[in-house]
Amino acid sequence: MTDPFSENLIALLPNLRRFALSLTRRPDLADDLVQITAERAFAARGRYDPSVRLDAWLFRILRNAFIDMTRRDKVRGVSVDVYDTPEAATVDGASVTETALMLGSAQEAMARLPDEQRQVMILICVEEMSYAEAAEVLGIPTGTVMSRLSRARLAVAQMLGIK
Amino acid sequence: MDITDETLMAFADGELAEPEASELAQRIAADPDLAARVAMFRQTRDMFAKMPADPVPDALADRIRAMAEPPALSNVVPMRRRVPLWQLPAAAAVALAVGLGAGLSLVPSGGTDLAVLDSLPSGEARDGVTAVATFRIASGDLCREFEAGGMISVACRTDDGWQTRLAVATGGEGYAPVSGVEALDAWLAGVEAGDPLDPEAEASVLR
Repeated sequence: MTDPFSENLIALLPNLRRFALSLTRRPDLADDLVQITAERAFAARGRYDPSVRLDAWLFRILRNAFIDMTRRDKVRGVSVDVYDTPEAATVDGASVTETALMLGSAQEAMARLPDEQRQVMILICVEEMSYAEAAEVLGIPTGTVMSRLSRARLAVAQMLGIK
Repeated sequence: MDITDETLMAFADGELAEPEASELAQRIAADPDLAARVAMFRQTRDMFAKMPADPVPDALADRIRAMAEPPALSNVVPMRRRVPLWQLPAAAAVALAVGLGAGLSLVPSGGTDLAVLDSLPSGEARDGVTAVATFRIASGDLCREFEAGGMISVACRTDDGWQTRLAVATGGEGYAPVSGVEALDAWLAGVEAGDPLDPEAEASVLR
């Protein structure tokens, strides 16, 4: 016995977790963040404005939960960069572009981006939010979103050998 | 006259306002280097679009699904309390179905003359009021569930006549804090509403 709000929220759980991973880089903390987000969302559902994208609303809650988490120093100092790879991009550009950029390579390039750049990439290029929506989720100016996003795209293009 | 990467990216993403976008489009059409730059930004977006996310762990999904279940309060009210609503004429039932997504509001009866509740048997309509059910609440007050003016309401009899205690809108759309029926159930549980009176018992308390 669920309602549209609950169903839509549950359908977005993988997206929320992916965004949480981009913030924490730790699966256990990402799961905690998703659960906290769901708890807060259900508690605040009366304040949800349907004219706002539900995912943007949930992502914003998740990011605030992440800030609360870092404030309590439960992330800083224990963070492990699970995606951290010391070597620079080793993808062979020619072969990748010829095979229409396999999903795996794209994800690998994404994982190698600095956290701030990966977050805007996820919100805008993967979740297809507008610059303004991403700025609202991240609590930063639109201009900052744009500068991070363009640097991220240039880096991805370089890693994957896109001219 | 340099065009920044950010401007080209905004153009590629459809985020550039007019008339800048049209002006830039002309320059891009005449400049293969700019066109290649825009293509690069398009490509680095398209390759990630609709990228599937990994499913969440089952344990996490189960915990969150449990949150989505209605609160335990709803279990206090047996579902048979809702039966009278579904015995309404078809038109009223449709109105209620529309109202499932409607919110809860506490409003006065909005000009509806509730005196009709003194004598109107449940299941019948008169003067724009359709009586749904009659029941007593824990305080001993006699209450009636009825539909009028696009609202499903509950009014209880007092020395000063019928007073509306709860009204659930049957219009509207979009996400509601709680569905109309859930709100009604929650209220009925809160006042410990008894089972609906049968027609004979109802007739004995109506005038």
